Amino acid sequence: MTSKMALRRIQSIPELQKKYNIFTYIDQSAADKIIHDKNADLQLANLTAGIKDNIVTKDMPTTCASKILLDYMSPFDATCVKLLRDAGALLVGKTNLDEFGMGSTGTHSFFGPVKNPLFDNQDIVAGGSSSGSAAAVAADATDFALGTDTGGSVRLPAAYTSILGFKPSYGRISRYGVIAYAQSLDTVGIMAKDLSVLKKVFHVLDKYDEKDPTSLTNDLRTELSALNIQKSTYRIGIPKEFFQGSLSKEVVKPLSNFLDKLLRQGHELYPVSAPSMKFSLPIYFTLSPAEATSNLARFDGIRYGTRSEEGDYENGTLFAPTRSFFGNVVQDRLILGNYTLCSETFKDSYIKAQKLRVKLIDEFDKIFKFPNLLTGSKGHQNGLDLILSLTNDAWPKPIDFFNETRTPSPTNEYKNDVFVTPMSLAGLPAISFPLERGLPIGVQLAGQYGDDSTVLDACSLLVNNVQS
Amino acid sequence: PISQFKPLPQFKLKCGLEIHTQLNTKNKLFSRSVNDPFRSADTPNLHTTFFDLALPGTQPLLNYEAILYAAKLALSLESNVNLNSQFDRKHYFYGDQPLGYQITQHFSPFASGGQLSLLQDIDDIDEKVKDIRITQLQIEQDTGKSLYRKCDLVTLIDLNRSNVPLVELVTEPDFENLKQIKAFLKKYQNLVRHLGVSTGDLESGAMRVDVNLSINDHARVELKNLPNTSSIMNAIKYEYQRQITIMRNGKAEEMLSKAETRGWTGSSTVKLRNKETTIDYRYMPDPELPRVALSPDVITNIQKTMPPLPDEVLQGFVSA
Amino acid sequence: MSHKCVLLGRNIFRSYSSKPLIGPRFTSLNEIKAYIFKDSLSANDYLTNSESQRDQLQIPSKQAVVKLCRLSGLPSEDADIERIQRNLSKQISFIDILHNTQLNEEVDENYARLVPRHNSALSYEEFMRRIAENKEMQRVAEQEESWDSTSAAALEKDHYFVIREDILENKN
Repeated sequence: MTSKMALRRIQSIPELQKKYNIFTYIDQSAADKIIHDKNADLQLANLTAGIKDNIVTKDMPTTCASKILLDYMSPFDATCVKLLRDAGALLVGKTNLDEFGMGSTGTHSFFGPVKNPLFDNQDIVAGGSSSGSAAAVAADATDFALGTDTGGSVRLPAAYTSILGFKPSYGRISRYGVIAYAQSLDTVGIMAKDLSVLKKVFHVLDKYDEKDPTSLTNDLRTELSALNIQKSTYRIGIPKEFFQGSLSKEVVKPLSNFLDKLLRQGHELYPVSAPSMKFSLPIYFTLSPAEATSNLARFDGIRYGTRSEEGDYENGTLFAPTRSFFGNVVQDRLILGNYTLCSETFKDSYIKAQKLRVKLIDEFDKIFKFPNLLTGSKGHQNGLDLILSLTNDAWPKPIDFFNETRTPSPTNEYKNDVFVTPMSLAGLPAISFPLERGLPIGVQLAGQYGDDSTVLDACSLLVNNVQS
Repeated sequence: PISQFKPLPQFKLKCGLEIHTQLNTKNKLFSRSVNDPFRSADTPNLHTTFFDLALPGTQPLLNYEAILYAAKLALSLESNVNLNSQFDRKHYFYGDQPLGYQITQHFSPFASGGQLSLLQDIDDIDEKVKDIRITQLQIEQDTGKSLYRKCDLVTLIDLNRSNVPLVELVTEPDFENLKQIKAFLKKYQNLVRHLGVSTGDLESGAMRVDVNLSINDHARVELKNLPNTSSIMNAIKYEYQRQITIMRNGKAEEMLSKAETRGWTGSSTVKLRNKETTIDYRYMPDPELPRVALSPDVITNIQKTMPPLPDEVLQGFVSA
Repeated sequence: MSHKCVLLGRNIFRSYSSKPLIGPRFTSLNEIKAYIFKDSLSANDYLTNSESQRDQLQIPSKQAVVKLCRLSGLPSEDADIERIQRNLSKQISFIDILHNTQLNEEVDENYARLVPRHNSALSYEEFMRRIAENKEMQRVAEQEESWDSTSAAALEKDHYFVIREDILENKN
């Protein structure tokens, strides 16, 4: 990327920020960091990037879009941030999100909702929780952005804003420095318009990190790359669980065109069923709030973060005055998480969800041809290379719709994640790309655990560059 | 003196111990900060890294030296090492616990079973031999320290001790008298020093003892805040007398049917809380720490490096 | 039980079969369209159906909600308990689908973690190597010369963190 281009992007940010509320923090000195040395041999030289504000940075605050972490300065950089800096990327700011990553609309932020750049005359949600990262890319404020995907939080906003959103296999990109929401699921993801940029960024970040106990080991990485086979046509499964009769007309036509394109490229398409997929949402909303309630127990204001002026007890509850700074959506999930973890319910909810999660993983193992190095599955001899679905099947809604007083139920919002959570539960690599350029509907392509290259290779056959 | 304290035959004493032992590994349990909770006492929060403070975005990294030390201790007690144990989270809010939970082992502890044998000739007990059975050993994090400063009406928090590795050892309720308890504590203290896994000092808090006690199978009482051997002995004596008085007054049904936790003030035991009102700890397997999966050769090899145990040396089983 | 014959039928997903299946290859676009656009019970419908039984739902009691607030370290005194009761009951009904799901076979819940299930036991050599490594590992010690552990705290006294109360007395 040229230094001129980088400068132009950086200069456009204040105006875009005013329109879409993309950032929680903008680095005013970003322009000074542009690399002018033409011989600079760095992979990501002068590519501008937004970093989701739940990933810690040394030189910019990290807030999780929460009052409880307002102005928090981390003494260290997340590993993914460090790798980007070392590769020459220009970090221009921290991007807005649903508080602590909890939400799929980008409206639950202390800094206010993110607006979808695809809809200039209307306040439409950008999807969440990586709403700001999606909007930054969609509005051309940055070349790429990092998000986090716990149950679809990169893929869904990518679909809503008609860009690419890639969630690699769990453990590929270090989580060190990513503020945990539910770390058995949390995955750093990459958003961009240009697939070649996305691939370059992934190449930089796809490294073992000894600081992350869940990082994919070097031995397994070596085994995985030895297993990779390049192809020009793929065996693709279409899960029945993911399609419904009520697809809107706006989706039917482009979807038919897309399927036609797949057939013309010579791919083999199959109907496929993984019965446990239909439990994905309840599994997800059992496990993720339970982990969240545990992970967010550390926010008490004692060692860092916002501290209540009033004191440290409320009616005998330690830290309640400070912890009341969490927004309503976060509080609701903490309460649900504690309901799940309570000794009376633990076995029937948490353990049951874990067991069903195992079943789902095992079902995927019976569908894919690629072996699963985590489970020991050798792969199905006549199995599939990929599964394909939509990322979302309906137009993103107006921001107003998610106004807390109007939303009839918190679970209504959960349903946005119905197509994206199965891949999170099994840790599968998955990418969302626009069904058609400029359309806020995404196609989701997912592969077996560890088979990230197949997902990206196949994507390059199917996606016309989003970049104009 | 202990010798004068004799449990009465009609009031049968049953005791078990819970002993927390700090392991003197070089680094803390889940971080690379220096494990030195004592010498740094003058400088609070000195030996703390990002993880010890539970900074956002940090992750635990298991220190296998703690596993080695715990394995030595387990083997010396003939305890069965679990080749696939795991860490769990125990949730409660407290000022000296930065994560909001303690990382411990609840569902699948490090070792179970085993015993420590007390012998008349060596350990000065009345019985010829007394075996104290071990229930289990679990590895967990220590908490920080809280100091109340009255003049300012504030509690001060020092996290130098936070995340120091501990082994919690639980015995079966096999103790019948004070001599056995005293002998066990001395023998166990010797053992950890001999193995080089802990200083075993009660005074510094490197070893901390809680007592579970019941008389004539009434509800169990847990005694806490026992800083040294004499307070352990005196607290048991006091509690024994207290319960006997209750029984003699015919109030056992009313006052001894519920488990409770009592603290030692130096001269008497006082009720701290009812067991049943104890908060729900909401145990959950830690979602990011790996299971402690060891192949059997780890145990056989550690066994080979073990020094002869103190009793073996004393009894001349091993030529010096 | 034959699954294949009903794969393309309307009702296959009403009963919970645990057998994943790849059906016969699509031969034409029309066949795919028929498959995708046909009325069928989708995952979304499945959830909606179970939620429509919400009348039978129990609203958690006020005491239960207060207890959960306290366990969550959240205020219970000034909290909008009714709002929490309402939202919690909906959330519980949503995840309760799992309670009514029969698991016919033995499943090891420990396999839910996305880490290697087998062959991860450390050999003695590897075990000792990790110990040696940990001792030397100052380079990832997470401490930086300039970092002061209490510098980010809103309240600090003589390098201690501070709680504005006697927590020792309040410990329960």
